[in-house]
Amino acid sequence: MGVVRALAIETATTACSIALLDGNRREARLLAADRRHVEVLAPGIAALLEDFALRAGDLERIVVDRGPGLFTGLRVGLATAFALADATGAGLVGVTSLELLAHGAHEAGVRGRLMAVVDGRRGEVFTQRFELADEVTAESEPAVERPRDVVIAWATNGAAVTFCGDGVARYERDFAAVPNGTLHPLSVPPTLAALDLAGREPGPVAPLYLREADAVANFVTRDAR
Amino acid sequence: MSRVTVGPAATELAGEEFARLLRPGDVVLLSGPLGAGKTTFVRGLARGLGVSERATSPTFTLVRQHRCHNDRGIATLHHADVYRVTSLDEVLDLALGELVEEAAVAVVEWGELAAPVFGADVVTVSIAVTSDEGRTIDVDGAGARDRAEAMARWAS
Ligand SMILES: Nc1ncnc2c1ncn2[C@@H]1O[C@H](COP(=O)(O)OP(=O)(O)OP(=O)(O)O)[C@@H](O)[C@H]1O
Ligand SMILES: [Mg+2]
Repeated sequence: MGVVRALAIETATTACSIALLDGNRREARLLAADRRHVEVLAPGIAALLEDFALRAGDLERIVVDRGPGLFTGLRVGLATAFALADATGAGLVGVTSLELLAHGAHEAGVRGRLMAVVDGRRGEVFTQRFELADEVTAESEPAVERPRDVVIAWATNGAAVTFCGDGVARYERDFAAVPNGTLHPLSVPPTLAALDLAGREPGPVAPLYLREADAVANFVTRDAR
Repeated sequence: MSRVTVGPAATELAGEEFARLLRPGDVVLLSGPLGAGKTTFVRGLARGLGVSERATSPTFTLVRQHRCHNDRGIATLHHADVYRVTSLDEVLDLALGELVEEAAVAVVEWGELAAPVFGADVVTVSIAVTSDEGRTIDVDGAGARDRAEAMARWAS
């Protein structure tokens, strides 16, 4: 039995978007494009539920993008998802921005090798490699890299690859230089793809920041001074 | 690139002149032992960005914002000190790397302790104590190398 009623929340980029599933009906909404997550998220969810004549208590699942991506956005998205799940008893499903991009690209007909690239700010991007065939398969772990290093690696290896995500939009000139690379316009991790993953086992969700582990290691050295 | 100073006033001047090399989006990580002169450097840097109030150590507030008045598009200075931070979540929580995208710069005392949070595009300023009044201020990092000529002029 699949999930019938689910809400998806996406705040890992400067955009804020949500989607709602109720049986055969589904709708995605872009609430804002410019870092106004705090302001638009809760009212946007309320309005979408109302248009579906649903109440929060009707939700069975809340699918939330747990990153990596815009820290200030993720903070709002996750807090909202936790609060909603808590209040309604809906199961919480965490997905990553990178896999949402991969599933979105797959849905849009992209096949073969895909690099999901999310803007990591500070001159870095969050990346993950996928193989898109009948299914979407991850071929690497999420990583933090410099755009130039990603470009050099693919230019050297020469294989055909599609790039998508807001990191590609930000460093478009770099990525356009990969000889066998194709830039796909998909930029924001799509919430409809998140609804497709609503059937996953719900459980505790933690944000994926990616820079944390390194940072913790560094921090410990302070006491050695 | 390094510059030698004798006495706090010289370090303040070094900070003030350093400020002219900054651009919106810059993150400056300051390192050096206790009492090296990090806050002193920031005091000059703040003046160089056109901050009217006196920059003091943000030790107990973690980060302090100053409104800037300059013609380089830097509207805000975020001055942080992460020495007393006990968990890196607190540094992540400051979201300085994202805040600087909005016409701001961030200067972080003890910033190298949390360097991975800020990514590769940073300017590092390390202050070494050479004598009671003597300091050597070293500037490096990817953010400094992309304006190496101006930095060299600052150092000389
Ligand atoms: N050349 C110099 N440059 C800077 N400070 C100097 C110099 N010579 C002496 N000093 C003294 O060193 C001290 C520097 O203090 P400051 O608060 O700037 O250090 P800090 O690096 O911020 O320390 P903390 O790690 O505690 O934040 C001041 O008392 C200052 O008068
Ligand atoms: Mg200080």
